[in-house]
Amino acid sequence: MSEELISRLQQAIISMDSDIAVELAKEIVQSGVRPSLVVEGCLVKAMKMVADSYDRKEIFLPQVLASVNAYYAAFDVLRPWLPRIDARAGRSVLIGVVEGDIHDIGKNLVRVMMEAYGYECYDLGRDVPTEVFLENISKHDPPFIALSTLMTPTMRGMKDIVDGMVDADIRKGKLVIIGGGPVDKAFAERIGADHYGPNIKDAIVWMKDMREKEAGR
Amino acid sequence: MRCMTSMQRFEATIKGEAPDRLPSILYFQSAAQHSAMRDDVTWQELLNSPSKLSRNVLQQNTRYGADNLFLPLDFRVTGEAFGSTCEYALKCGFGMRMPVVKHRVLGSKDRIDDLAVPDPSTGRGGVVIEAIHMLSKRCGGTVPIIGFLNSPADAATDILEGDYSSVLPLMVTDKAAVHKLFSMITEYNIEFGKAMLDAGASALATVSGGFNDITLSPEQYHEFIAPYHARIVKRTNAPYCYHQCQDATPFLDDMVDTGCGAISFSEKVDLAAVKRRYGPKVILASGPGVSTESSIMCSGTPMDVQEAAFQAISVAGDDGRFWLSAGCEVHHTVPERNILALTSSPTIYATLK
Repeated sequence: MSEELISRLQQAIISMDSDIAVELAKEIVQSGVRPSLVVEGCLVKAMKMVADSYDRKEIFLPQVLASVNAYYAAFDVLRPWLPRIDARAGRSVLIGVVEGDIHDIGKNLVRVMMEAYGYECYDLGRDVPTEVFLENISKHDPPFIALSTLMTPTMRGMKDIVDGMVDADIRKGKLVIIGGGPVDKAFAERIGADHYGPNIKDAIVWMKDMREKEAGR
Repeated sequence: MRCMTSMQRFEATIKGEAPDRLPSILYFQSAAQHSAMRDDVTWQELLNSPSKLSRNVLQQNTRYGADNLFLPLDFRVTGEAFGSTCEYALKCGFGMRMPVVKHRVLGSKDRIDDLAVPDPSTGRGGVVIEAIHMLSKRCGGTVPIIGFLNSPADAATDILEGDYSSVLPLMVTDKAAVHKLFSMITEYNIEFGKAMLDAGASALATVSGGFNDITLSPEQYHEFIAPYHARIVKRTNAPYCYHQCQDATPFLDDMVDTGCGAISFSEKVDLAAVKRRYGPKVILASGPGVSTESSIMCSGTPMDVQEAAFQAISVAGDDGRFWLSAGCEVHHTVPERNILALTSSPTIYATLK
């Protein structure tokens, strides 16, 4: 019974049906299945399939975002029963779009996938001033900082943040990943970021590699 | 061949006649920030005053050598006309940036029927129309004025709460709502376009920005984007320059089929291939890239810009049906020397030829 519910929930996310996703998530909670298993075995799996379809250009952003809405609708039902993630366990990310840029779709998709993979995200939103990034990096002390921009004129905000971290002595022990249309690997190297993520999958794989590297030390 | 005015040059390309040289047609802010800094006006003052706006836009031609005047200088006029409000913050770059929407008038797609199509003179629309009047008087028909209409889909993201994150998924979950909203915006665009033409604009232009090859499939573009531009072209009956951001390649057939006078695209598109396929049907507008930090317009030298401009002209300019442009918005990090290198290239090319 529960397997069937989980399978139907996965399908509801893929077929972008938020209402059904909520109903099924409620039924699953009532059925006594551990919600964390549902997240890993169903929600994450569904979003991976959606991301893969997007990568293969079988679907585009309207479908991806509709699936994201269904994902969150189900996730919000399960959330109260999920264990708190320990931010110090290397699974937290501070993410945001730099100052002057209001384009946040890419950042939102990255956040969804990071959460799906078990990261706790401190999402600062879009058009975030450098000083707000720095305050929150100090406050939350996350191991990963993810910066996004879609606009050439606002790229310099990424450098300001990395420089600001150095100046404020909060750079050590943190990994900065950048993404967005106008940035590339060379720009990441030039501003002192640790990685350029050309797509969501790359970002997730890199973060996993970095955590494993850190754990192996 | 006698030396033409910018208007004569522009009109020759539209009629398919040989211009004395190809025109350089620039989009959007085209050094607006540089000019505003010199004039010591803020972004808010600039965009809300017909006299300041017209003075600034005039410099696109008089100082930077473009064969056109392009306004409004930002995307937010349509959203504001419908009732959304903007913040004219002075934060990035040289202290200037495009207005940011702070409050969207439509809290939910269920309230689309509450919207009314605004009068074109509402809000900053009136400022733009008055500025076009002033420019028209000043230029006396020697420089074409191009009036900008935000693409209905992009304008919808300024009107509906949640912007792209709301509009995009609705394209699969509630198509009827999307079409209703885009239709209303299109009606506004048609009226605003006509008002700009009545005020003295010679042509209209649009930019499809956020709805591109990364976000939409060709089928979605065919259903949600191109038909609204076709409607504007048909009802305004004026030369319409249709710009598509990112890689326009998958959408070129749809763009041309709108009946527009010119299609504009970035350097990501194979200009030679487009010329071969569409050359006689439509004017092409493109040139050195401007959209990434490593683009020639942003980080190249003036010689690099000129070389890329020559290359574009040689590929697409032989029949005169080509406007040299930067392939997208000439934003404020483009060095002034590179804008000048771009706009001077057609003259130098014609001389060398």
